[in-house]
Formats: sequence, structure tokens, C-alpha cells
Amino acid sequence: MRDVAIIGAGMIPCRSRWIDKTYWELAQWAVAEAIKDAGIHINAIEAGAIGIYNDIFEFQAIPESPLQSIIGLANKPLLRVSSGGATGAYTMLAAHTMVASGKHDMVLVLGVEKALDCYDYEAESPTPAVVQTIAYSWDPWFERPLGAHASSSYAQVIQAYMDEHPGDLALSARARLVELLSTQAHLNPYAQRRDETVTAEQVCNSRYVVFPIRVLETCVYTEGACALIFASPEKAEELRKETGREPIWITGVGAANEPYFVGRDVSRYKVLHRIHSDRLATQRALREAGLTIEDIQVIEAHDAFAPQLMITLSEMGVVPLGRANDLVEEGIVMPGGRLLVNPSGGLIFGGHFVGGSNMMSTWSVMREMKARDLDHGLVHGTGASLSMYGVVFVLERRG
Amino acid sequence: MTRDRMIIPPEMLPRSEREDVIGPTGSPIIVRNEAMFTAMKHSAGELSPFFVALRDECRITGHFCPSCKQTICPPFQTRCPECNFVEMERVSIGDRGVMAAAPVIVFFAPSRFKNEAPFANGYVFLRDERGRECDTALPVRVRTTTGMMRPGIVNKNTPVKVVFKNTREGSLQDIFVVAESELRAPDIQRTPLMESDLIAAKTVRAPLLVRPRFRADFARFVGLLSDLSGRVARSGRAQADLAGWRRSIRFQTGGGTVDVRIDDKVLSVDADMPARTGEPDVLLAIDDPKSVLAWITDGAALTNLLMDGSVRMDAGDLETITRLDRLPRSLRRDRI
Repeated sequence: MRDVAIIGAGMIPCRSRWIDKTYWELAQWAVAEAIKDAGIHINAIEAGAIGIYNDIFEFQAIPESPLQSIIGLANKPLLRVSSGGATGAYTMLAAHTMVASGKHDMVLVLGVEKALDCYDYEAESPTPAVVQTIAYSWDPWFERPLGAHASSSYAQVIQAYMDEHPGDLALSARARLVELLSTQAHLNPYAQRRDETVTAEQVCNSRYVVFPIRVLETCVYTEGACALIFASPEKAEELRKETGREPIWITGVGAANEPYFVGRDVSRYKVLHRIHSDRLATQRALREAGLTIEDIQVIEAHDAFAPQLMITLSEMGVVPLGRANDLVEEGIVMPGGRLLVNPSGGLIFGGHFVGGSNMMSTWSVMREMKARDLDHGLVHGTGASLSMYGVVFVLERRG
Repeated sequence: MTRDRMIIPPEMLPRSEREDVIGPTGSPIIVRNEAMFTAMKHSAGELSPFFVALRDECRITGHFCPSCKQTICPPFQTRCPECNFVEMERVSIGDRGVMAAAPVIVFFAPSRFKNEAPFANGYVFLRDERGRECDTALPVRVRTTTGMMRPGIVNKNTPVKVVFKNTREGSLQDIFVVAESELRAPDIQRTPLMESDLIAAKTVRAPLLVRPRFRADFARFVGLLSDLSGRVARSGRAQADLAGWRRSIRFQTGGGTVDVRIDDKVLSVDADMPARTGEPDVLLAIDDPKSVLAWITDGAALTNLLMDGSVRMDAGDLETITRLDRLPRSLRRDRI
């Protein structure tokens, strides 16, 4: 397998609703930005991988088909990926394999999603319909008839973790973490909630969406797109000489999906109080990169919910399970701490356009590594029922 | 046809309309009402025996692997992949177990469930007929006989008992679990335990805060209840909400006590009843009657008042509360 370089990234602003743009336009816009960032012509791209989570959000089955020529890939391979919340990360994994295997030298990676075209005519609000659309991701026999949906599913993991580790995920720590993410989003020019400041006190006072999760520790629904360009070492070197731009290297990739059904044996079933997939994916990616978690200087982790982010960082080994409060209370992720986490504001403040959120995370890690002169970064995606999917990438700079 | 009989309630159906919305550049954007719908006759396939047993026999079933000896409930697969897909055997599962974790309480629900919120979901490890805990947990609704589910009522490892609804249709909503600590010993031993059995759940009287200033609001509440009774008599939807249900309900407030009776489609108010009748089927304790006025005037859910503690249900059944909660909305829909 060859090394893979990321030679370009194109972000567009995250919005709760782009009423004046379809997902066709969002997709094309992001690709144009990525091509410009890489300093290449679209014709140099040999193939593509596209992440679109939910057909209903796009109001079309096979929603990638109209994009084929719109994004400049007429008559070229284009693989669509849909893997729940981890769609963006799994799309990157697919594209990484296309390049690392030697099949292609230059691959476009694109994630795009609409959401707020959904509408509940009874409630006269889009939100219950968006929640329902995501709830269709749960099975129709056991979970969905009970009203399971994304928030209740994550809430179950968070509640089970708190049952297992009483006192951890303290509200005060969660609230301070959210306040931090709010502040960090101020520096993300594409963040959906860039101009918003949320205090820890406001988090504590906010209403429950699903007990034990409060509304201000929850990610937002977003319409947006992000594109990346993956290249072989040879192409990356050629481009570096041509443009002088520095690529960022993917040196480790790890993924794991936990089982759907709940049990006590982590090897056969989903254990509620764990996000075991995050641990496995992180271990596999770090092993491939020849690094440990202590080597990582910046992480963009998939924060569907702030307490889930704390569990994820614990599963990654940043702190032990049961000591997630230390992330905040010991200052590990706070300003001046040893680890920079979600400098984009994460999905809570940056935005969560499901098919491409993890690509936004990648864009952010690349930006921070260059701006702060960091050597090692990590990107994470999770998703599906009870946070069962986990994908991790280790990024490196090579002077 | 009532809302409950419609897969897509009429209120959720969009009219065929389109509109121009002025976009950020000042140009009109065409926005049209639409729906992405596919009607279905959706098969439960090989899962059907599990749901048929729930519906017709009030019995829970699982699958047992003769090779690795693991038992799964629900029976989501017919072969055991760990044992290279050996055929699993159908077995009966008991109706008692422990919670895998505290249930979560859903306040904000998907469109199709928003009329059920708030509700609590969790996972229960049931024991098989030999008393051995199943290797997987069954997703379930979690309820309490003490009113609205609140944090701390059911926790991780809380022993729970499966309760079967009296009307079942072959789905996981045919059952729910309650903490065994809320049940009388005979009910814990009874199999199947039916929802209607829960009416006789233990009575725990919370001390009532009585204040003279509550009397005016109580009088207003009684007036509103009388008015409600008359309006129900003119509303087909409201009568459908009460159809087939018979309960006496006592609103015991800090300003006075009033009884309401549901008798099939009729809601009647009897201010004198408390003096001449015994224990009601449902006892609602309310310190300040003002808190319950909004149930009738604004359709504020009694369920939510139970959740925030301003209404306490010391004895009774949740189905009655659900039916009472439906009344204001039905009256609104019938414009009465």
C-alpha cells in the first residue's frame, strides 16, 4: 500500500438552510474550492468518492448520479458512500484505499448534505421532520417502533457510561467544554454558529432534548459541503514542486463497527457504556502510523454531543475511561493544555452536514497543523445506532 | 377514520402548493410543498413468530444457540454467526429482568412520535425459563405506576417486570416494563401481568399543600371541567378518545377536591362525589390548582405536569392520563 497525501481542501460556509442553493450547487462549489486550493485542473482527477448520508435529505434515491458531470467527473468512476454519521470518514477511507492500492493517483473526496427541506406540516416546523428522517436509520421492527432516534440513541450510551462511572461526565465539565467549543468556532470562517457565544451557565440551564442530554450540548443540523483531493506520493511531489504547496499525509487509517444489538460481551454485542469502535479505530490508525495517542497534538473528533465527545476522547486513550472530567478539570483540552480538540468548533458549533462533516474536520486539522506548525493530527468520525461506527485517520506533516 | 388508525395523520399531509421565498440576494426562490412517501405493506418476515407470541399469547420468545449456549432476545437472527451459522432454537423467555442502564427520557421526539413524548426507552436483560440471563438486551418502553418517568426511578440493574397492554397489535409497543419495586408481590409473580392489573398499584399519598388562596382557582377549574364535559358531548373526536374507557378520577387540590368520571364516551363532573364514594381509580394530587388550568385552557399536557411534579399521580393508570391529554386537541380539531 502506498502513502496518500491530501493536496487540497475546499470548504464552503455551513448554514442551517441554504434556501437559495440545491445540493448540486453546494457540491460543485466545494469541489471548485478544493481544485483551487490544490492548484490543479479538474481533469487531473481520475476518480471520486462521495459521501451523502441520507437520500431523503436530498429528496432523491441515488442522489450522487446528477453530480457526476456537475463535479467534473464525467465518464470517471464515482463511488457513493453512506455510513450514517460516519459517512464522511468512510468516504475518505474508500478514497484512501483507491489511492493507496495504486489503482488511482488522484481522487476527489466530496461530502455534501441538505437537511432543512424536510418539514413537519403538523408542527409547522422542520425540526421534527429532520429528526424523523434521521430516525429512519433505525430498524423498523425493534428500535424505531419505540421512537428511537439519533439523540435518544446517543443519550443511551451517555447514560450507560454515567451509570458505569458515577460522577464522570459532570455537567460542569461538559458545560465548560461546550463554552470552549463555542469560543473556538469564532476562528472558523465557515462555522454555522461562528457569531454565537454560549456560556457554561447557559448550557447548564438549557432544556433537555433527551434526558440526560441538553439542547446546548447537541450538534446542529447543517447544509453544506466539503471536498478534499487525495494523491499518490508521486503526484504530491510533482505538485509540491509546481505550486510550492505542502501536502498533509495520511499515515494511519483505522475503522471498526460495533454490533447493532445490545449485550454484555463486547466481542459479540454492543456494550452500552462503551464506544468500543472508537477505541479499536484509534488503536488501528495509530499502530499503522507508528504513533501513540501522546504524539497527537490536534484532534478533530466527531462531537454529535458534548458528553459523547468526552467518552470518545477517553476511548482514544487521551484519559482513562471514568476520568473524562480530567479533560476539562485538568486543563488537557482547555486553552494552554496539551491537546487541541475541535478547533473548528466541532459539529456542535461548526456544523454537521452529515455526508461531509468529517471532511470539514480534516480541513480543520490540516489548517491547524500548518498554522501552528504541528506534526501530528487526528480526525475521527462516528455514527449509526448507539454510536456503533468508528473511523480514525492520523495525519502527518513531512517537513 | 381517527388519527390513530392513519399511518400518516391528515394534519401531517402537505397541500399541493408552492410559494416564492425571497432569497438572500433579493431574488425569488421557488419552494414547493412535497412529500417523499412510499406506502407499504411491510413484512416482519422471520421475525413474525416473536411478534405473534407477544400479541396472541402474551409470551416473549428468543433464540438459543445449541453450540455456544447463548440466548438472544429479541431473536434478531436465526443462525449463530459465532458458531459458523448453526441453526438456533426458539425458546420461551421470562418476563422479569434487570435494566442494562437507566432509561433515557425523550422530550423531543421524531415527527411520528411527537404525540407520545415524553417517553422513556431502555434495554432490559430478561431471564430465560431456566433463570439464566439472556445474552442480549431487549429494547423496551419503560414506565412507572407513580406517574411520569423521572430520573432516578429506574436505574441500571433495577429489577423490572414486563407488562402487556390489554390491546396488542404485534409490536414492541405491546409491552413495557415497570420497576418491580412498584408492584405488589402477587403482581410480580403473575404471568402475564396485564396493564389493567396495574390499576391496583400501591397508593402513596403525598402531603397536600392547602392554602385559602387556592380556592378561587379551584372554583375556576371546576367550572372549566364542567364546560369540558359539555364540549366533549359535542365532539366526535373527543368521544372517540374516551371510547371503551371507564374510570373515576379524583383531582385533589390545595383548593378543593373534585371527581370526574369517564364512562365510555361520556365525561361527567361530580363535585359531590368525593363525599359519597370511596377510592377513585385515578388520584391526582395538585397543590396549586392554577397549575392544571392550562391543561384545559391551552392544552398543556397533564403528562408534562406529571413530569415536572406539579401534578402527582398517587394511584392510577397512565392510559387514563393519555386519554385526558388527547381531549383539548380533539376539541380544537373539531372546533368546539
